[in-house]
Amino acid sequence: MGMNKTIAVIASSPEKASAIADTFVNEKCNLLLLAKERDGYDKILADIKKKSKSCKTEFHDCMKDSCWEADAIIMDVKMEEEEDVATAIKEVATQKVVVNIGRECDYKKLQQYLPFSRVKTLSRVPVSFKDIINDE
Amino acid sequence: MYELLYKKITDTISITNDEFEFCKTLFIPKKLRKRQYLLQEGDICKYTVFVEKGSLRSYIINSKGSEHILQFSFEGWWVSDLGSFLNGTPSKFNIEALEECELLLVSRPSWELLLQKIPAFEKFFRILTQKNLIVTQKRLMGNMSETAEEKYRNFINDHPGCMQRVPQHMIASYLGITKETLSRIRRHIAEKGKDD
Repeated sequence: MGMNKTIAVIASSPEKASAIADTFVNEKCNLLLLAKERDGYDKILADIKKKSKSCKTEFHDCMKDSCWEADAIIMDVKMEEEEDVATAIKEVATQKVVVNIGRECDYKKLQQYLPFSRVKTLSRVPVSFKDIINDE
Repeated sequence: MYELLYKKITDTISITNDEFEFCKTLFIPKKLRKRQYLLQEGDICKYTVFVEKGSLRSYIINSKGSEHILQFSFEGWWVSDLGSFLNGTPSKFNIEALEECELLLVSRPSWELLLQKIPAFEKFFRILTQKNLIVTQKRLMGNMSETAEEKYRNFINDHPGCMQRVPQHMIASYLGITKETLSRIRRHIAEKGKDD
């Protein structure tokens, strides 16, 4: 068995969200794709639904609520957006793994913004859930 | 998010504000939707969980595929598979949200750290365990010796407001009786004018 884990994906564009979502198509998980605007995300949801029965994907515009549901959070945002994102999710990200895969990511700064989260930086999109939950 | 946890802790032990702030950093805030699982059979139970809001049921499925509910958990209660949590063995339990829940999860390493850094929590969890044991003994005795109606009456007394939040068939499962027996008991009580 094993329960579905929930992953919140915060990306600065639908293309980046899609790249992250694609790596989870073979995982048994719930993906919550977060953005202010829904444009471009319906196609991603439809694509994932075609490719995968185990990975359930939804679009959300509320960062706090979605990260509250999430077991782990993946970010691919610009460096100048990091602080605002961290402020929005700080209260609900305690003890959760937060991965920033953005090339411009300043890991130390992000850890300062989220002092009680487990911040990780990966140089590539995660291949599997174990990449982001391996120390649970 | 932590209001009820604070109340439950400070009802039992004295801690400073700084100690509570430290305590908060060890808990994982988690929202569960209705019918989502906190734990499924076969998983190792990695957390002990405080319910800030919502309700859950803990149940097992026997070899014939029947569900047996061990426990309901409501606001202010703790829920876990303690054996799996402490021993790291696969759980036989399923823990499912009956409503949308706001939970606070603490992992074994964080729990050990909490006990180490704030020794008053040893007392807190001891008292919690004692209360749980008393309730478990009471339930065991009830299962062995009470009539179905007595079990139902005691359940209503111990879980006020539960009837509005938990489906009848689940209450029947918890009490170890059929749905039909539960309906009959409720009708009987209503006819006697003794319903709550």
